[in-house]
Formats: sequence, structure tokens, C-alpha cells
Amino acid sequence: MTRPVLLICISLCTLLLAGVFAVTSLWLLAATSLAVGAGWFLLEWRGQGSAADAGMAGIILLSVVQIVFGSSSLPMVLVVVLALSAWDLSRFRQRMPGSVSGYTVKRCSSYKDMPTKPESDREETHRSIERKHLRRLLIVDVVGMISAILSMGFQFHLGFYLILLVGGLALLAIYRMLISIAGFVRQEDG
Amino acid sequence: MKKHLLLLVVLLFSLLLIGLLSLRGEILALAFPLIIYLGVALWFSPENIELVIRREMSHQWVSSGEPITVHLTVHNVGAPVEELALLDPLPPGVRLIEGSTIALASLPTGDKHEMAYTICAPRGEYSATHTAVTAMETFGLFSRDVRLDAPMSLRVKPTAISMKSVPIRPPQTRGFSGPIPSRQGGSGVDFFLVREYQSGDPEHHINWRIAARHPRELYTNIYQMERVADVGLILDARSHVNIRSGSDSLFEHSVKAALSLSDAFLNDGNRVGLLVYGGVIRSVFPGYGKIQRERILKMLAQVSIGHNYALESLGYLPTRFFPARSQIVLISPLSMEDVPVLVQLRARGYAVMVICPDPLHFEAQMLTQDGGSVRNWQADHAYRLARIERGFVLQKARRAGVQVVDWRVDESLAHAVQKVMLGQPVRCRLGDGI
Repeated sequence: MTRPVLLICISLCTLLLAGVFAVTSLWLLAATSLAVGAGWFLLEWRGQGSAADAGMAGIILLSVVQIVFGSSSLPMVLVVVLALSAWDLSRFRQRMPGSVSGYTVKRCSSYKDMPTKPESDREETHRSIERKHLRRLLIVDVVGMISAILSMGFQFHLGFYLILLVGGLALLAIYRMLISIAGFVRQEDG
Repeated sequence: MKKHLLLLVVLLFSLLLIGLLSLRGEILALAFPLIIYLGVALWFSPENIELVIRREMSHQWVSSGEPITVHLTVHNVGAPVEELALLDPLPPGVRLIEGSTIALASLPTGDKHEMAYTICAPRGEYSATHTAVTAMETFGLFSRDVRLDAPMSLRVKPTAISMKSVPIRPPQTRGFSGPIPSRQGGSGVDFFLVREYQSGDPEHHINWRIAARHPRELYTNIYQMERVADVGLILDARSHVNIRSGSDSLFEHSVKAALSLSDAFLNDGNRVGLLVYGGVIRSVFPGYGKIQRERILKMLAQVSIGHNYALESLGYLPTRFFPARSQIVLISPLSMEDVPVLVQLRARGYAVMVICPDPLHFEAQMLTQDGGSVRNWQADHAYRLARIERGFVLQKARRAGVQVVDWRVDESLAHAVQKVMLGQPVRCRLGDGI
């Protein structure tokens, strides 16, 4: 189920990005968007998830360029959310044994080779993990998109000292986040 | 995992930086989905993992090619794990034939996950110590790797070639009844000699024909006692004489031959010992019966070819391992340098038989085209020259009184042994030409 969703996400974000560039007559950037998206799509179609990182980074950077040179920012939120979802699903497919990496198993050539009970159990487990993953991704996407859209229409004026305070708090938050990630990576190492 | 996390963090801070530098709030807003994605991943990141693993195997001592089913059960006794990736690495040489050694599961607290797969392996001893487990949250950004102790020990025994009794005649036999003529008069089946009648001789053993020619004397038929013997098997595991061809190895055929011969000798009631001469010297002390067969089988399941500069020649063969004047059976492809050692063994009073898996035929099978001649004329000439040299080596061994069985490994060993026994003169067949 993840494969069609992944391909739809890549197609939609590519077409949306290229379409917005085309509307603003930025033809070169539209062509670049199409090239990046098509490359990612083709590699995912062939079951190679190696282009996911480059694909997502390329699409997000192009959406930033669109905001800087163009004028449409709302569609770009959708583009970022779709690119993030596609990247996540691509990694998820790589993690799933038997789907991309080809770890499993025996192909069914006759009725004797039909999946046995443990094999069908395994497929059921994978399906349930897949469902859970898609559910959580959908929630994160919706919340992310709504918060991004809300933040765009939200304006407030801050005084200089308040900006300093908010900046300081932001720096502290970033610092805490980096420490937390570094600690986790250290634990992962051993 | 870290690469993806790094990419996400770099993208996030790039968006924030570009947004701040360009004073564009929209770009800052683009970072929100990434922040929420990262935050959710961090929130659900796995904590301390407490897993209990149990491995069950259908067999631990199997024949080569026999399938073995492995069951792994992982029990979560700690915090819930959203995604658990299990990788049970197979020892080198073990082949997966059904199922998967990789599994992905979601394990709430107190839940179990079972995985099963079927493997098979060639002869050998295999072991694995652990199973690699990776616990992660649903987005797979944060994970913890754990190695769970799940030891696996598997021994795959070689398959024996069916063989009937191998006729041997060592100079010395043991005291128990068996199938080997012992060159001593007594109760037996085969006629041995005639001597003058002594009181107590059974009446039906009197040779009446000779008695008729000597009216005042009686003569008694004496039969040859049949006894068991000491048999020492030597398996040559030196790497430079054992050839490999793809996945097949001449040594594997030697191992099968050793097992078949030990079975045949033990079934006849003989005392059999085994010495493996290769990278190291390993041995099974001589013994009788089924327990001895198991010991030999275990040893043959473990042995492999090896190289040791000190043991390049058979000259360091520990002959004192074998009882004096016993039967020695060497299973070796033989090289030119080995013949003097065989001559020495004969000179020390051992009856020596060499089962010689033919390395030339084995190697030529790689080059043959549809079973015909070798690939080209150079190879053909080389094969013929090597064949002449090998014939010379075997001839030298035969002249020293060694029974040489030149065995093409694609043929039956029993047939090759029988052919040699029937083809030799009676004196050699009886093995008394010391």
C-alpha cells in the first residue's frame, strides 16, 4: 500500500511545484522541478530508495526558491508536506523486509508453496505496522500543514527586548534539541 | 539512520536560517512540518529495551542437506517498542531455504513475536552467538541497537557411502572372534593345516583320507581362527593435496570414504581409530562399536583442510598411535613425497591400504566438455603427463606392498575396493607379503 501512496506523493509535489513555477513564468525552475521529481519518481518506481534524500532536499530547496522569487507560499507548504511524506515512506519501504531489499522468500510456484501460517502471520504483522505508520504520518502531515498555514497568517509586533528574549529562547530550544539528538546518537553507538 | 536524522536537522536549520536572513516568515513556516515530524519522532523514541529471546532448533545434529527449522521467540518485558527489526545472522556456509532471518514487528509490553525459518548446511560445525535487534519509533529516525544472546550450535555430519565388508589381512589380530583370518589354528571355517591327532581333538575333525594312507596314525584338520583386528584410519587433510573445484572439494569425498570405511570396519567388530593429518593432528583413539562410530562421526563433522609447514609431509605421522602390525588405511590423494613414508610403514610391519581419490580425474571434470576429452590439446597433453606421473607414484607404492585403491570419486568406493581386492594376487590379497 505504501508504494502507490509514495508515488502519488512524489507526483503531486512535483507537479504542484512545477505548476506554480510555470504560473509565475519561471520556466527554467519549472523544468528543474520536473527533472528532480521525475528522477526521484523513476528511482522509486524501480524500487531504489537511494534518491529519497536528494529528492526531498531538492524539492524543499526549490520550494524556498519559489517563495523567494515567486509569490505563492500556501502551495509550497503542501509541497513540503508531500515531499516529507514521500521521503518518510521511501525509508519505511526500505526498512520493510521482503518489499525492497528482497530478503524474502520463496516464490509460490505451486499450491504446495502457498504461504504457510507463519508467513501469513508475518504479512499481517507488516500490514498492521504499515497501517499504524500511515496513520501517524497522516496526523503529523495534517498538524504540520495546519500549523504552517496558521503561522503564515499570524502577524505580531515585538519590541527589541522581546525579540532578544524570543531569540534566546529559540537558541536554547535548538541547543536542547541538539543535545538530546547527540545523546541519543551516542547511546545508539554504544 | 543517523544520515537521515542529520539531513532532516540540516534542512530544518537551513529553512530557519534562510527565513531569518531573508526576513520571510513564509520560509520559516515551511519548517513547521519538519519540526513536528522531528518532535514526534523524538517523543516516541525507544527507551530502555528489555527483551528476552529464546531459540529452538528442530535438530542440532543432522546429516548433510537435511533441513533444520529454527524458531525464535522474542518476548518484550520492558517498555513498548513501536518497530522492532530482528536480524538473525546465519553462520557462513549455512543456506536459508525457507522463511526469512529478518523480521519486523511491533511489540507492546508483554507481547511476543515468533519467527521461523528453515536452513540447511553442508558438512561442518556451525555456531552463532547472538541476534541483532534494532528498536525504533515509527518514523525510524531514532533507534537503539541491541545484541541478544541466542546461541546456536549446529553439527552437520557427513553422509556415508554404503559399503559391505572390506577384506583386510593385517599381520596381527586381536583376541576376539571376528571376520579376519588370523593365521592361527583353532576353531574357524577355513581350512588351515593338518597335524597329528592329539587326545581331545574332536572326532569329526579327523582327516580320514590321510589316516587311510597312514594305518597306524591319525591326523586332524585344523581350521584358521577368525579374529577382529586393529584398524587405523588416516585422513589426509593437507590443503596442498586436496583440490577444490567450485563448491566441490576432493576432501569432502575423502571424508565420506573415511566414514564409510569406519562403518564397514566397525560393523565387522574391529577396533577402529581415526587420525586426521592436516593443519593440525586430531585423533579418535581406537575403540569398538556404536559409541566409537559416533565419536568418529563427530570428528569427521568437524574436520577441515588446513596448512601447516611442519606437517607438509606425511613424515611426521605419529605411527605409535596405531598398534604394532595393525592395518592402516590411508585416505589421501597422495603426492610423490608420500611414497617413502608408506614404504617405511610397511617396513615397520603395518599392513597398509591407501584409498586414493583421483585428483586428476576430479580436476579434469572441470575442463571436460560433455564428459568427453579435456578442453584443448594443451590441457589434454598436460592431463596425460600428469596421469603418467600419478601412475608412477601409485606403482611405486604398490611395489612396496601397499594396497592402492585408485578411486574416481564419481564412482562407487565399494566397487573400486572390490576391483582392487579381486585384481591382486592371492599373496597380496592376503596381505602377508611383508
